[in-house]
Amino acid sequence: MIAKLLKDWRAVAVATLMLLGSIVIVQAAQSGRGGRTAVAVDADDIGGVVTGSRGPEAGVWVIAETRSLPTRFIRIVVTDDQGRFVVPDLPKANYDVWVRGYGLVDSAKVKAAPGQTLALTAMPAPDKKAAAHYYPAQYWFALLQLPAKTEFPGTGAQGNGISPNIKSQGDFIRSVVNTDGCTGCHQLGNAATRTIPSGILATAKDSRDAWDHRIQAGQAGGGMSARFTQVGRARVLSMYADWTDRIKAGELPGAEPARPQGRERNVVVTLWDWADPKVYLHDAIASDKRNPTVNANGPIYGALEESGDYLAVLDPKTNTASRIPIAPRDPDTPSAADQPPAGPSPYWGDEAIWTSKTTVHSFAMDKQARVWAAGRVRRPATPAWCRAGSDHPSAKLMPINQGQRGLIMYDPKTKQTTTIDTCFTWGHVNMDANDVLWSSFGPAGIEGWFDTRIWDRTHDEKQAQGWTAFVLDYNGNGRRDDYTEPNATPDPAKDRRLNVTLYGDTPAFDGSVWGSVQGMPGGLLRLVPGSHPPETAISELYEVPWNNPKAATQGYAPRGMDVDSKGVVWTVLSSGHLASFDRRRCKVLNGPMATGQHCPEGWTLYPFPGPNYRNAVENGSADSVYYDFVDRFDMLGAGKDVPLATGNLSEGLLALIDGKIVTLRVPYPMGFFAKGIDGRIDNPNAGWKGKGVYTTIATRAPFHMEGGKGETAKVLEFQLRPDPLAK
Amino acid sequence: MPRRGVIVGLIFLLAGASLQARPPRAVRPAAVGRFQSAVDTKNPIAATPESIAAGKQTYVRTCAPCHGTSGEGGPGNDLIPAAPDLTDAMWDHGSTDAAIFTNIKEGIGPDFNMTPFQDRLKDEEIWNVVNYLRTLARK
Repeated sequence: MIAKLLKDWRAVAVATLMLLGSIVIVQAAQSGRGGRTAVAVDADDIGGVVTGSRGPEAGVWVIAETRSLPTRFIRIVVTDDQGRFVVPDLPKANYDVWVRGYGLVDSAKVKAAPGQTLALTAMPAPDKKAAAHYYPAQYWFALLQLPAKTEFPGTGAQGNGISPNIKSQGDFIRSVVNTDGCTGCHQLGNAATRTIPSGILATAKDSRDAWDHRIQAGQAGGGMSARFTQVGRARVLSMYADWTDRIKAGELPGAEPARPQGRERNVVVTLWDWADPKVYLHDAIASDKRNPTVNANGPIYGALEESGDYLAVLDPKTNTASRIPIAPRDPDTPSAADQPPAGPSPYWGDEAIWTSKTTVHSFAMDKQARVWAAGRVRRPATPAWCRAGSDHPSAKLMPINQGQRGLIMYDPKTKQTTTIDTCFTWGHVNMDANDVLWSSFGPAGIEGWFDTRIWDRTHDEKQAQGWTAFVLDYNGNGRRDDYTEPNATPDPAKDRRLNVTLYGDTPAFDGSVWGSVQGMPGGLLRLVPGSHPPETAISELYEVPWNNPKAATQGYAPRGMDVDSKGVVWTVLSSGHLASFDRRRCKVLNGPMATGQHCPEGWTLYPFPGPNYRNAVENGSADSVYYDFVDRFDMLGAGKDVPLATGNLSEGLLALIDGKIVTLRVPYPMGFFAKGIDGRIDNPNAGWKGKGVYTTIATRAPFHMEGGKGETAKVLEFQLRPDPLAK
Repeated sequence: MPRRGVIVGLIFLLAGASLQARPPRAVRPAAVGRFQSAVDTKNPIAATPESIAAGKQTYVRTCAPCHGTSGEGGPGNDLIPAAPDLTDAMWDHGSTDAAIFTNIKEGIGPDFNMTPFQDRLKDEEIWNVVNYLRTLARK
């Protein structure tokens, strides 16, 4: 048969490809054959070499996956410059192992067990289209053609179709493309979103109509639809339709992603399935942000926001996923289940798959490993003691009639949950050095706190909480005085109240609290509580430089934020930048000259890597980055105080190391999308193995991930080894 | 008596929908001017059980994503700011049927977080929503 084949060179080529694609030689661990250099493995590692048609394949991923543990488990590493790899410390199980990489298509899956050494054969992509299938979503989304800068401000429905309220291209990017728009919940550019489901196409008269149906799908359809109307419905629908039309016609990304380089090859990414296919997550927590040795080797907890009433739980020691049921105090608390889909979902039809009353958003963990969750406990109307006429010190100054999320505390020792009613609303929850929780999610103009020490002592939720207005030191005398209201003409003799809400909200180490103010251009707010916060708290506001001739780089629209150990604030911008703000550089801090744009010298903007949208001139990158986290304790392994960010279109964790952004990509399953980051040190004496950084898949549509309907959210752990073969 | 909240949609950074810190005001002068022509318009749809049922159906699909199915305000999320209570007596943008109708139809600027529904709903559907909203008023 061989001799016959040799008569035809094409047949030889076919045979060779088949051979490469289907035969993977599983060698004895001791043999060392199959690679130029032997790879040493322990009994719990899988190692080996990846070889392609031109020799060793450097910078490609080796994926080991098993479904034979209590929950699905995936560990991913990158090959070194000689194509060698080690997937370290695997739980005992049988694994599928294969190669994925840019310029390739997936290799055949090989069955393997820990202790084995493999010679894997990479499969070259037969054409550009096949290769591009694996590109990060950003490379596809960058094909989107934005309205030109000259089209702003919009001229309305009778003009260019863009709302006159959208003043600039940057505002357009913020409102409908980046995290304040579609990519705040979806990874646009992945295979599920760059195509239109056949069920929608079947009933739509054209692709624009198909997008009109698509954005009304499911229980969030009303909100998505409203946002399109707000920005200029017809124009935005046409923009998205043009994007998918061109892709359908065969257009491919104009740029090719580079394979992992340098430190990017040292990463170990571990994924575990958790929760269920109908829910989505917002955040996860692993430890006390102030002391990451708390809850060592313990469970990770996940927040299901509007989708379900349980805490998702993962025990990474036993690879077991479980649930902790939660409920509001008031059984009549509104439920997401009451909201029907605005339109049918191609995945779930008219089913209302989200059913949460508690809508848990985010967490803090205290030194006892108790989990403090922002969750709804009652109907929106506040108790009488929150309102006018109350004797509560904060209510006397700022009564509150309506609030949403309170607190739900889970104690792992007793396995009990406790609901706590607060007048104000919680979003991102963070704890200061005095065990006081801080947050600002509404009503607008309020920063709230909850003193867990008082609550532990008294269990009096009214006494343990307080809130204050945001008041700028407008007269610049260093203290809080009488103030003018937000819409009133400022008075240089008085202070000035701000009607803002903070998205990110993090105590710093000097006793101040920082938060991110969303919007255009948005900014960072610093609140100094003072001796009696309801009446002494004073604020400073630093807008992102925008239309500011004194700034080297313009940006806008912060969302996530964190503070490093030096007090420098790090935030991520819809303009496609990671940004730092160092208040110590500011010449002006308060007073009438503190206009918001008064400290461009405090800002440094780092554009995210990867391609940009067509026509884009008012941003740095097409990546969409939701949240960031400062790794103050070197939990990742890249050093202390390294800022990390969620690259939700670049499909990885972004780390600013030595002034350069490093991408720790998650190649499988495609669809990495996260809204928060946490870290933990399980064993401070175990080097890289004893610590890690955690996040969870947080797209609202896990069914858009590779795998489709039935795919669940996942917990991810990132660890950075000293080299790609460390075991 | 604090500043009173809103009808359909005023959200987000607009001055403290549910923030109860300032003296009450009836209707902002700018808002009065905008829907002055509608103030004199009488609700042409009687608040019959049929109208209210139809209004509820439209409300649940169109308004509830922001204002909550009970009308008591929504929690807000990454796309939608927390939206005000429609069951209390507080109306920042006019409390007459005609004012509410206009706010739904034309939206509320300047940021239009309360989006205009004139391209999505017929006038009759909006009037039905107005009739339904009246049934939500807290007793």
